[in-house]
Amino acid sequence: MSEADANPILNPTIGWVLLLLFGAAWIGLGIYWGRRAKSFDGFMLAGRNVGMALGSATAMATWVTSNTVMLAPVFALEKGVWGMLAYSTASFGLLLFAPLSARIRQLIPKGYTSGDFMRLRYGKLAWVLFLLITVVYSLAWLVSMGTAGGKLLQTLSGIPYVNGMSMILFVCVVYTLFGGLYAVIGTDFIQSIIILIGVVLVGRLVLLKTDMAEVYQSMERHQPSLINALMPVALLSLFNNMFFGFGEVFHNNVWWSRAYAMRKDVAPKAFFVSGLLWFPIPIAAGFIALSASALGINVIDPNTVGPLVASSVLGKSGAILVFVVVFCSLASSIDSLLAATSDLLVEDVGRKMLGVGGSEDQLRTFSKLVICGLGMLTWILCAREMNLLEILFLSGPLVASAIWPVLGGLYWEKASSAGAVLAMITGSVVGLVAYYKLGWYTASLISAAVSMVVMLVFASFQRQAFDWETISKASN
Amino acid sequence: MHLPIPAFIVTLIVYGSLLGVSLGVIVLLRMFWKDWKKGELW
Amino acid sequence: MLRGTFLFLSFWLSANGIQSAAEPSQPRWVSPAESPFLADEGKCLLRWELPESENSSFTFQVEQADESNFSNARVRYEGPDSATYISGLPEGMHHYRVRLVSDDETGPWSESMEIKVEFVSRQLVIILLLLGSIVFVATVWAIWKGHCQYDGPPASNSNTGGRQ
Repeated sequence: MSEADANPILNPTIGWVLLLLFGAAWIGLGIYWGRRAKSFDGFMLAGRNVGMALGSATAMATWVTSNTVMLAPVFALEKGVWGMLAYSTASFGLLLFAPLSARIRQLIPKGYTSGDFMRLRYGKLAWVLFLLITVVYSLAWLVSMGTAGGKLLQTLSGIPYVNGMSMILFVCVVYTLFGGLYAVIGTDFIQSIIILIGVVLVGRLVLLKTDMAEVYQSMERHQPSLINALMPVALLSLFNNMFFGFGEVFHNNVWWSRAYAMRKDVAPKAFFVSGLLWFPIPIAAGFIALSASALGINVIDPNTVGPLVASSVLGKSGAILVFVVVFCSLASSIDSLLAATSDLLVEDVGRKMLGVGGSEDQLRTFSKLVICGLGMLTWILCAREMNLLEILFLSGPLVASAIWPVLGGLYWEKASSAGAVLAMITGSVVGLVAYYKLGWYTASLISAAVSMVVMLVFASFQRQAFDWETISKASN
Repeated sequence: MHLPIPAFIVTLIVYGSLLGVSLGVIVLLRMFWKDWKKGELW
Repeated sequence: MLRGTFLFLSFWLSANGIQSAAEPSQPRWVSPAESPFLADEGKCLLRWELPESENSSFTFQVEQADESNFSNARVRYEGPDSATYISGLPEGMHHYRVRLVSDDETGPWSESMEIKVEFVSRQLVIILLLLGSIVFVATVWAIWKGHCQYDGPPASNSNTGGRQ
């Protein structure tokens, strides 16, 4: 435990009051909006009729995770200006998913999950491999958020790690359980507004205590690499983070389920707008870490530098603000991930792989059981406190290996099953080797490159063109 | 090798991001208002 | 005679790692575990402790220097914490030392801790940046080309599902 942990800024009672207040609000809203979900389609995909405002907000809020609020400052602290920009490149994934979402809706208008597409496009082996990658990644994402949430509550308010983490997971599981995707999307809008206002407020208030000239001078003197345009690790993390983001968005059912949930004409526009809205957030949330040295704040645990600076500069009000922003960003992502991953497990593993069938009510009950199980599994894994960066980046090469199989599968008639399988295997393996041998900042980039070459080679040797009609016929 | 990013560019990036996030709030609320009026929220 | 005994006692105490009550203790490094420590990303956590646990509150002073004789030393941290996270270090060797300070007196400096910052090779950086640029351009191009080719609904798909 660091010194920062030993002296929380907020009283644990204030922490619990905030947790219970927001927790009750999300659960209440979840139950209220959940009443709209009359069918299985409504529960899983919010009636496939979500408009521009809620669509853009849900995509943006889901992408603002606790990692954005907690890790963007870590990137700034360790990699400086390039580090902040590197984190922001994750928004390119949303921007590029805009045209992909149009193609997804065109190919499988009645689809449910990203696994559906992989199964119909590439067959069973690629589908199983894809499910393995996406389940590992989704769990890593969920666990990293639960861990970050628990750590933050402990740092800010002294609430014991396990208690805080358990409470966050409990709230998210309950309102996702009651409201399905309606609850997720509705709460995402409110959460995204709170997150954006909170980030701007914290940034602005920090700048009132110091100015950028002072911050720059301090970096020049004590941390010159943070403003070095040629800092190797920071430059490499730029591409690495970008491909990690591409992999995350292109493959994960969180985004595919949103593409299916939005109105067809809305999906591409909403993803593009959400990408634009998301781009400045990691910079606005991260730059405060650059000012730590100028403000004379001693950082001990880099993983909590953002909250530490905010609360050191702004006192109790700053700590409350950060508490609320992080709780909202946690909730907006955990709920989406719970809903989308349980959809994937119900639809792909349950219905298609194990042949679980039944009425709509039975499927909905099955879906709720899966949400509970997933929440429980996340809780067990979160109970083992783990390093945030380690968890996040270890799954990077896995998802980056799926970029080209998804892309090729959507657009190329000559993209082959063998190519997709080998691209995912070789990309993941070589990427993981690079992670340990060269450094985490190379893993996703190398994985994406290897996967791209394999897909291209196999596509160039493929004689038979894929008939797109087979997908739409099978899905109907 | 050290090539410092000029101070004004760092300042521009930081203030630009704060402005961008503020605009985001306005854009989201405006879209919400338009969808709400047309009954097209969901 | 008395003075001689005192000097001998002082020598014996310090030789056995025992500080006299009046003299502040000498901190020792806990992290990094070895010196010199190789920091390939220009960051590391410096952590130190006092040989014996004392209950009073301390102020530590950490100095950083480029030269091993600390001729150009500057204070990097001063405060009660027994750790500080260093980041943004440029390539080269950096030297650190820590001591206790109070209003009345200052304790002896700890042993020097060397942090060697060595980034990944420039050759590898250039290769990976080139590779990244190629894969990025290829990804955007593939999506753009595919989007242009398949933009607009196919004739067979008019059903968008749901309530639309």
